[in-house]
Amino acid sequence: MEHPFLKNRQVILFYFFGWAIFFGLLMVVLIGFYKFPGRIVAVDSLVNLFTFAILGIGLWYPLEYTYLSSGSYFSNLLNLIGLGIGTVGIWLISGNGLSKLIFAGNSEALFYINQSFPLKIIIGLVIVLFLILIYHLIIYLSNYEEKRVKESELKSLVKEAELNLLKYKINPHFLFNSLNSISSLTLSTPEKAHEMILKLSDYLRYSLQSGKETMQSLADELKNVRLYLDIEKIRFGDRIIFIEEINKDCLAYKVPGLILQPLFENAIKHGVHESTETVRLEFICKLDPSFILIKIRNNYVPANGDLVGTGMGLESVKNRLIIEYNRHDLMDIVKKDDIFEVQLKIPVLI
Amino acid sequence: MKNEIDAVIVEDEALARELVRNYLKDFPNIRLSGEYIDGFSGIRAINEKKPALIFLDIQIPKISGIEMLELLDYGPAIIFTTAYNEYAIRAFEMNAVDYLLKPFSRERFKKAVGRALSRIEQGEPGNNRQLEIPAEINTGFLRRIVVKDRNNIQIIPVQDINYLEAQDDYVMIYTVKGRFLKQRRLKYYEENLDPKNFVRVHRSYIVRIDQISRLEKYEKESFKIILINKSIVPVSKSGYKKLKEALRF
Repeated sequence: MEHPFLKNRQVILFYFFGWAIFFGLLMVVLIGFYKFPGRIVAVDSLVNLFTFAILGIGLWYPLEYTYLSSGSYFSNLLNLIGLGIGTVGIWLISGNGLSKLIFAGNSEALFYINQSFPLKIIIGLVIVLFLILIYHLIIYLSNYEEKRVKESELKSLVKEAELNLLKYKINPHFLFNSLNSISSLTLSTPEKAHEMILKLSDYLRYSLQSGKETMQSLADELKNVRLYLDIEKIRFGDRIIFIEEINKDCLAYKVPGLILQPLFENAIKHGVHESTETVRLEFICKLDPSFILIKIRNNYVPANGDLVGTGMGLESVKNRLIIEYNRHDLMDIVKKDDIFEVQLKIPVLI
Repeated sequence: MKNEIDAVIVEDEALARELVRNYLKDFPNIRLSGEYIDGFSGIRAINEKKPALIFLDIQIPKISGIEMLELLDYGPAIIFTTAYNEYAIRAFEMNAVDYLLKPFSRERFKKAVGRALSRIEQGEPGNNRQLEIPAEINTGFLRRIVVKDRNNIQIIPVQDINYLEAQDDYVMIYTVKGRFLKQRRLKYYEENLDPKNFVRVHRSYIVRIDQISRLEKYEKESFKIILINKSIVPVSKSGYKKLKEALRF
């Protein structure tokens, strides 16, 4: 962080103006009230206060270092106390030394300077405490500002993700193509049409019910994915192969609702819509002590440009995980030859 | 009825093909001569057999229905069948006979086919050349360009392009795999290639930014670009300005 006083000419003027007022008050008390000898007191105070003002500016750097270092509360406090006493010590030596140099040979002045030493210790400690408090306040306020900016960024991310989620609740093309398949089936094989309508209804109900806040069990999420794939299988026939490799203990854990749907839609989109090959979809779920590890794997044709980029679907899942768990490291994408794999780490909540 | 008419379906979903086949039973003089599940096999067969009527889905593997139209050798009657309503306006600009939104009724289908038949009878089924194909819906920019290279069809991902050169009504596309001629104006590519990646540096040239190796002075006041593959592209005065903005130098 930049020095809060030095970054602006007005602030530094204000800082020295503060010292000037303090000097004025000191003069009123020492000369006006205690009737100390005016010239000696004025020069000695001026020299000492100016020295302190310079030291006070320098105080920022070790202070900032103390805040940045991630020591314990107690060690930080010790550092601060040491810093304060050290500063006062340096001030007493340099300020008083300078004063004595100026008044060399003047026994009255030297006597006065020696007499004022205990008082200077007390004043020095009070001033240093005051400076540390001011610096502390400045650091606190700037951290606060930073936090506010971060928070508003997170908020806009949440909004965007909510919008995407709405979009992903039901993909209109999927819906209309499915309806078209049903309309075809009603003419040829009505029983199959009947079956597909039931599946589509279950799928739509789950998708519409899962709100943005709801967590669902992995079992329910998986049931919905199977419905979705069943419908796609009716549309695309035996071009879709779905393989599950699931640790049964995973199923009861909660995951963000509809987190899997966009990933499977993405796999279908790039696997089925872009090529005529059979698409092999694999769903793997393992249990780690602190995570549920989910892998969704599909083969795709890497030609025709990089079609499997970070699509809207993948982006929405990523944002969802950031919002839900406040972590950026929960989703990975691995592309190897003609295999595309998305890895999710869902933290196990207790 | 009169002459028999050949029709084909290009559609990747079996049930959707079945529905069209079913509806077509009402038209005994239309003979279904082929069904194709992707744009690639579709366009090859169509250019060979030249059916008069095509039922065309848009989202099909390999080459989209709209890209297919660019590669047609002749002017058949086209009926789009799709769940995407985003393409409707463009489809009519392309002079498609009709645009059926899935799912569609038998009556709606009859109307579309009736329209196609009367157009074919009048001998003006469609003029599908030089259409302004829409860029990708998602990004708003072209992801790839399909070209015909003698009898082969080439799909050029835009990231494989080095630069484009205008040649009258054609554009020569220079890619890592060689050069391809496309019947289109350079202005179309200026508008539909992502300006983050492509800059029109000259009246006759568009360059892919990340292919630029260096910029050299060339006579007074003018520059030329040396590409990574050593090709040389001239830069006009206004092109230099655009390049300056794009590369921020």
